[in-house]
Amino acid sequence: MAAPESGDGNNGAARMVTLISSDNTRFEVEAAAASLSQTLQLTILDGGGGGGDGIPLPNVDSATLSKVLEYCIKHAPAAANGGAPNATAVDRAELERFDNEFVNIDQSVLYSLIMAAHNLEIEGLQSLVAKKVADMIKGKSPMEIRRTLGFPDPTPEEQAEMNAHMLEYGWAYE
Amino acid sequence: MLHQAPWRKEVAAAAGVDWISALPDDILVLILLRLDTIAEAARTSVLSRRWRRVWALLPVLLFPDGRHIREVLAASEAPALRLIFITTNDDTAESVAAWLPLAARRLSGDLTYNNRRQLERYEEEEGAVDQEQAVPLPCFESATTIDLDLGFLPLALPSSGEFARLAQLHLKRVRFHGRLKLGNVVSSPRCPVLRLLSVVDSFGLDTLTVHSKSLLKMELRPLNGFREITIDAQALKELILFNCFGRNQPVANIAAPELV
Repeated sequence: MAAPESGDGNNGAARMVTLISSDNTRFEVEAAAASLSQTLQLTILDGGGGGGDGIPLPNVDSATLSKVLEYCIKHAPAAANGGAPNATAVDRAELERFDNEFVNIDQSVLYSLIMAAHNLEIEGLQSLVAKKVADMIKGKSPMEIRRTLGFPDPTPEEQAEMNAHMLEYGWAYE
Repeated sequence: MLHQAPWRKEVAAAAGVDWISALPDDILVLILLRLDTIAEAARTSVLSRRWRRVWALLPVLLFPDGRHIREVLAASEAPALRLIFITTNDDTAESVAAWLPLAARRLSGDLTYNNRRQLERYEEEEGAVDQEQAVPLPCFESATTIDLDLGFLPLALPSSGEFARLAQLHLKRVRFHGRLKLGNVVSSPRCPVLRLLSVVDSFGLDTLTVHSKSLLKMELRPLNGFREITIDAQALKELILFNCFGRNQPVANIAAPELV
């Protein structure tokens, strides 16, 4: 991916870049991992993020960035293999296990992660979090979805509105 | 081993704050696209006012079982509807006539419609089917591809309007109905960027006169009754006429300098 003169030739030492969260925490990470972000990839290919510079990420706080980077570091080797056609079934199962565990999180964290995944355009993570939320909705009644997503209990007025709406959308419940 | 349903844990953690509802529309749309059916996406509209119109923004509408087409298209508010894909076994002319104008109004991408309806002995039934109400084809001002297998439903072509962005028109198992000629619709004044045109396994096409500056490829495999073709297409590179003329004396006037 990167040209040889951009640093990969240094006796196998992986090129590192620095990312700076919105609350000014610096994260040093392999360029290959950070490049899972389409947004960062361009900057990194341009030689940015190295040395003392660092790439500021004003929309991502440190707790979220640390979580995002955990994902990127785990997925970088497979991504470097172009989706890893030669990955073993064990490797794939391990990534799947990691992914499932990774999104088994509080919804406030999930929210931040979704926003960061879109902000940084990390395709695999975008799919993972979207699938996670879709799975929370699939096959459930509206009341079950409301409970799953942590809505407050409906007021009588809201409940009446929901009932009327369900009648209007009768076709969707056939 | 029995695991506790994972969402129970999330409920405990997030009770009273619906974080997911706070996501922007475009992200919620990506989530709803992962549900199994449009009906399931539509059901999220009941959750709260926040969710009321989110599902209607879906840019891709798949109807693998051909159900609820009219309801969904009537509710759609997608700023750019990229794809409508429909498969059905028994859609009627009346039903198609009801949803097709809604699709025409909203679609800025591709429409694929497969009506698998079979007519076992269509030639004998031709008279009977002609009694059927024809589906009026509305003008699709923004669609880029229209691919219709009508299952031999009768189709009436629109007498006015420009298919300004239409690059591909594929008509299969259509019964052309009414006086307006297909050539009038697909020629350059009304289809200025049409590149591919195919008419396959269809009835009621007896003559075709096309004047097009944009057409690159044309394929005609009508069923019977085809008599005369006139083509004036300066960019046309490929012309496939298959089994067109039957027992008729063929008349063909073709001016297409690029044709190889």
